[in-house]
Parts: sequence; structure tokens; C-alpha cells
Amino acid sequence: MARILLVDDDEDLREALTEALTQQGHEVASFANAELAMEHLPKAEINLVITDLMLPGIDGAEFCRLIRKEHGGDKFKILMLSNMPAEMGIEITEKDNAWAPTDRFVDKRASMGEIMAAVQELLKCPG
Amino acid sequence: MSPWACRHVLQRDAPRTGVIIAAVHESGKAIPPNRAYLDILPSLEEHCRNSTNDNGRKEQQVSGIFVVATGQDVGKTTTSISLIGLLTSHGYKVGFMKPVGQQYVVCDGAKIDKDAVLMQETFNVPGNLADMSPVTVPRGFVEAYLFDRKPEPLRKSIQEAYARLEAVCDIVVVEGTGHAGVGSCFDMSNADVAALLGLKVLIITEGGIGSALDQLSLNISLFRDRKVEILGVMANKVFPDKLDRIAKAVGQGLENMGERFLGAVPFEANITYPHVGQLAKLLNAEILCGEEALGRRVEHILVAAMEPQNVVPRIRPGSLMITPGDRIDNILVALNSKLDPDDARGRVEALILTGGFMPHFTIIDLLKKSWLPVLMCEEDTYAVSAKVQGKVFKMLPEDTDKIEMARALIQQYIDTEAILAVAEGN
Repeated sequence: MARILLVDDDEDLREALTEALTQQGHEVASFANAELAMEHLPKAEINLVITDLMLPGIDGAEFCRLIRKEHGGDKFKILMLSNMPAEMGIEITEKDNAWAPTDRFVDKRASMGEIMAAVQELLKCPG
Repeated sequence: MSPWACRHVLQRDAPRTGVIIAAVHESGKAIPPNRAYLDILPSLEEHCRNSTNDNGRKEQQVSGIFVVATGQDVGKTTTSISLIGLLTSHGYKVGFMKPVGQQYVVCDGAKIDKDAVLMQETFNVPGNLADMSPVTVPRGFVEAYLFDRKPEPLRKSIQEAYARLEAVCDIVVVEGTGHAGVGSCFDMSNADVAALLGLKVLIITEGGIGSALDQLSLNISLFRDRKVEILGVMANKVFPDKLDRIAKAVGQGLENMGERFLGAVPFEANITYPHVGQLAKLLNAEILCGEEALGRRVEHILVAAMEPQNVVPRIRPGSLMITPGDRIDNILVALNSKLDPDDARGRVEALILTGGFMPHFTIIDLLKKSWLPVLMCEEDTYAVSAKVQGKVFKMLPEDTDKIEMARALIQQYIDTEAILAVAEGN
């Protein structure tokens, strides 16, 4: 069982992901924007952060940079979801760690099965 | 010249030198000083100086040149590099030594001065690194030394290391640290070391007249005090439009002091330009993209703190643009500076984004797809530009064009015959 922080301004997607993760036995705290999520983060022992890239206010990349800076690189894993880069023809690789320090990037248009598989993989890795 | 050394040479050359010399070498022992011996001693010494071994080279102690400057960043290392290149091109096996190092790296557990590492990587000079850098001065060394003063182990380290280099080289370029007196606090000033090794000194001074001659006077005094012979003085980094005037004046000033002026080298900007990688290291910057272009040289600094229409006319060939990371307008100017490849105004070759502001990922994607190496710094634009503008960037082994440029400058502007004469043992 892991504690997961989920950030996405899409309410439907938040609900679907929360349900899928809860069924896997995980505890999920979900927020619609990065500012609210950052307030919650210090209060809970989080194992995994799942965030959208395109967020209102602080975007997902900046959110990742801020929480990495504040909490270090080893405390939790970060999974970023977004369809925007693919739609713009932008490829995000591990070399993009400077502006988006995530552990994994998944296209939001992927199936729930693929997203869950990515979650499982990250939670298996030592944090 | 020791009679023992002379006898070694004479034994080989005895058939050519006649009966008196045959009597000296046949005894196999040092002849007690008597009138006959003293009478022939000068000719023995003269013979030793002029005798050659089977390879036709002078049979005598390996020569060396001690290179020192009147201050830091005057061009000692560049000159050492040029001398090694010059002497190597004349067929000498040239070694290098930095007897006392203050800026070192750790190689195989040993502290080695950076300049020694540079020379080995650039020229593959003979000898091992530990001998090229026998004494390094870590933090706290001087303070500890002052209360436990033991110069002999340091002297011994330097002498023994030099002897090992002598065994594998024809000539050793020995580079000092700073001015003549640097190291005095632990009894290892450049003057002390030059005297210890019995080397002649080449002094490099900065371009100028009054202050240059004043500094030279101080430096020369210390060398004279230690009975070190000065090979000559060269002026470096002289503004090209003042070259003749300064060369004439400094030459006269040195003549007035009884020393030889070897020439003045003009300032060559190309030798000073840094790589993007050197900038990244200086600024402790994050590399956003363009790692493959870190070897690119930049020649001009453009601090883009103004509106884009005022940035454009300031772009020069080889421009490094420094701008806050949230100045998307100026970032786009940099990206568009390559629009016309024939534009003589040049283009932006590298970008430093300051203030820790990360552009939007769509802009980052444009940067990644461009030719630009992009560095990210947390510091503000003023701090970054001050650091970059104030820094003297050292040569790196891969700067083969800079090395050749420096060698060519020495060849063109300096009396290299005097330097080559040292290599010949004169």
C-alpha cells in the first residue's frame, strides 16, 4: 500500500485515477492545482506524486522542480502525465530533467492499464 | 663545472685531446689541486662545455628554463606551452615541472598541480606527474609551516624530482607560481627554487611601461639577491597599437637595469576566448540543452537586459547572450539570430539564462531543437555577467589552435635564439 499525491485540473481524470489506485490498495490525496498539493505534501509521508503537466497557475514542470528542491530527490517518485507535448510534437526524455525532474513521463492518452503499470514500476523501485 | 664531470667526458674524448689530458684520466682519481691541474682546469671546463656525446649533443648537465611572471594571469602557462612547442619543434625532448603548486587536482591519490596535468595531457611530456609536481600547498599548509619551519624536505623533494626529470629529458621548462617572491612564506619563493635548481630565469611582465618596470625591478632584485641569472624579460598581452612604443620603452628600462629584453608579444584575443563548458563550470550552471556544443568558443558577451529591438544590433560573431530566463522575447531573438547565415553581424552562439527562471517547456523545446547550448544559473544577470567578464580562462589540452597561436606569437615576437641557447647549454 502506498500513499499517492495526485494533481490534475481535470476532475473526471482525477476521479478515474483515484478509483483505479484505490482499488490497487493505495491511499490517494488528490488536488486540482499545484499550490494546494504543495501545502499537503509536508503533512503526509508520500511515496509517489502523479501530476499533470498543464496545470493552472504553477505548471507541472515547475511543481516538480519546487518539490524536488524542497524535499530532495529520494523522498518520493514523480510520474508526469500529459498529452500536450505529444500533440505539439515535443519529445520529453530523461535529458529534460533540468526543467522537469520526473522519474517517468507517460502520455495521458495511454490506457489506464499502461498508467497503472507505470505506477507499479515506480513503486517497486527503492525511493 | 665539477672536475669529476669533466673527467667522465675526457675519458671518452681522450684520444682527441692529447698527452696532458691522458695523464688526468689514466690516474682514474681526482688529481689534488696543484699548479698543473689549476693551469689546465679552465681548458678542461671549456672542453666539457664544448664536448659532445656519441649522438652529437652536448655532454653536460641537462638545462632548464625557469619561467616566472611579475604577477598572476600575465601569461606564464601560455608562455610555458609556447616554449615547450618551440623547443620540441627544434628536436629537444622537453619536460615540464611546476615545483610548487597551489591549485591541484588529485591523480591516483597524489596531489598534482593543474598546470602539470595540462602539460602532460597537451604534450605527453616525459616523466611522471609526481615528479612534475613535487610540492603542493594545501589549505592550512603555510600557517602550519610558520610554526614548524622545515624547508629541507621541500628542497629535497624538488631537487630529487628535477633529477628524475633530467634523466629523461633534454631540457625542462620549470614554471613558477606568481611573482618572484611567491612562496617566501614557506622558504620556497620562485627565486629560492630557481637558485636551488641552478636555472636561468625568463621573466614575463604585463604590457605597460611604468608599473611594469617597477614590478620588474622588485622581481629582479630578489633574483639577484639569490644569485639567479636572468635569461631575459618578455612583455606579454601588449595592446597591439602600443606594441612598438612599449617594446622600445621597456627595452630601454631593462637596459638601464642591466637586463636583457627579449621582446613584446601583442594581446591576441582569440587565445582568451572560453568554451561554453568552461563557463558552465565557472558558474556551476545547469546545462539545459546542447551538451554536444560545450566545446564551442564564445568571443563576445551580450547582456540582454533591454528590449529585443535594442538587443538585435548588439549581436556580434560568437556572441554569448546572458539574459533572465523569463525574458522569452530575448530568448526568441537568440533563436532567430541565425536567420541569415551570411549576416556579418554574426549570431548568438550560446545562451545563459539567469535568475533561476525556467522558460515554458514549449520554449525549451525550441531551444533543444536549435544549435544553442543553454546554461541555467540561479544567480541574477549582473552577478553572472560580472563573473564571466572578470575571469581569465586558462588553456585546455584540446585548444590545439590556441596552443599553435601562442607558439607562433613567441616565434614571431621574441628573441627565441636566447632561449634556444639555453637548450644548447649556454
